[in-house]
Amino acid sequence: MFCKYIQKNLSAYLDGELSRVSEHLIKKHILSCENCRRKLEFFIWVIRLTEKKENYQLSKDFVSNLEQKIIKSKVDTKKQSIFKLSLKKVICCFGVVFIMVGIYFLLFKPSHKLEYPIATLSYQTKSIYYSKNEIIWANVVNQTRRW
Amino acid sequence: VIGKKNVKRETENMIDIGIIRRFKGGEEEAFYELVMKYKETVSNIAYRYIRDKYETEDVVQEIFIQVYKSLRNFKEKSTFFTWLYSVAINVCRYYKRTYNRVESIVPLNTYLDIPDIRLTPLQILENKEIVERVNMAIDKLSDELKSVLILKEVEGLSYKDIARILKISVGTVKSRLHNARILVGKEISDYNNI
Repeated sequence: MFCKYIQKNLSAYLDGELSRVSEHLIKKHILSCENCRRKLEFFIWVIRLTEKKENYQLSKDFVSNLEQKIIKSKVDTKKQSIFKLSLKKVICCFGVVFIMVGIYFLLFKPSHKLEYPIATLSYQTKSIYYSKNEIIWANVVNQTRRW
Repeated sequence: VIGKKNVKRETENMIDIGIIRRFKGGEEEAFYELVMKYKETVSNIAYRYIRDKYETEDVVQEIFIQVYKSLRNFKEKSTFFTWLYSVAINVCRYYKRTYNRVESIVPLNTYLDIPDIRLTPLQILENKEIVERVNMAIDKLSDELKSVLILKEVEGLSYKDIARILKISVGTVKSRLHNARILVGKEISDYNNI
């Protein structure tokens, strides 16, 4: 049970990330437990293998290349923002025109009477309701259309 | 030692924040000061993650472009280096996910190209083999385990800092690092008792 606790914390122990009490417990235990000591050695071995042994060398013109890329990305984002702005403007313009046309038709309905009609059509519509050969209800409408 | 390290980090962070404020004020050159300061660390992290000599440089440039784009939104709530490392890890992860191509033809173990004169040719060969095995073992780890291991081994960051960078708890860092080391060790050797 105690060995299990120790083995779970060996990695953190080697990194110096445990409390003083835990560190003391582990130190004391390792002196007496062969199995845990072997596992500690295993972790030391893995840490030695994986730790950084080299520095990656960037090319000499890294900064100048980066500068160029940043300038390019700036231009690209500007282009994008211009396009976005113009699209917004176009949508706004359409919206304003649509609203104005709507208001015009709502408030100022065009009159049906034209001063100089090209053609005039007059007609009469009748709706009669019969029941057992008797007229019960009739509606006659005279209508005129001018173009 | 930890206290001294913290004071150093605090001072470094204050210097960084000063540089960032200058950049926010319109001084473009301030950004390149940050690049000069952190390019080596960032490139080491990226190289450990990408494992490709030629593509690492592109990835590092991409990391700094991302930093440039979002530096104005940096709110100084966290230290700059934790923020930078989280950007670096995210870009590397994205790169690995998107461009997970066939393994590089270039040998990965560049540091063993300089032979140690104290070693016999046989020892050099053995060492090369071990390094290759280590690299392969790290490559086989999942993204979560790999990020923790790289941040610990490359930069020697504390568990607290790693937790902040990866936005996980300290306990998770501890268990992930433990598991990563066991997996790498198992992969390298025939150590099957753990």
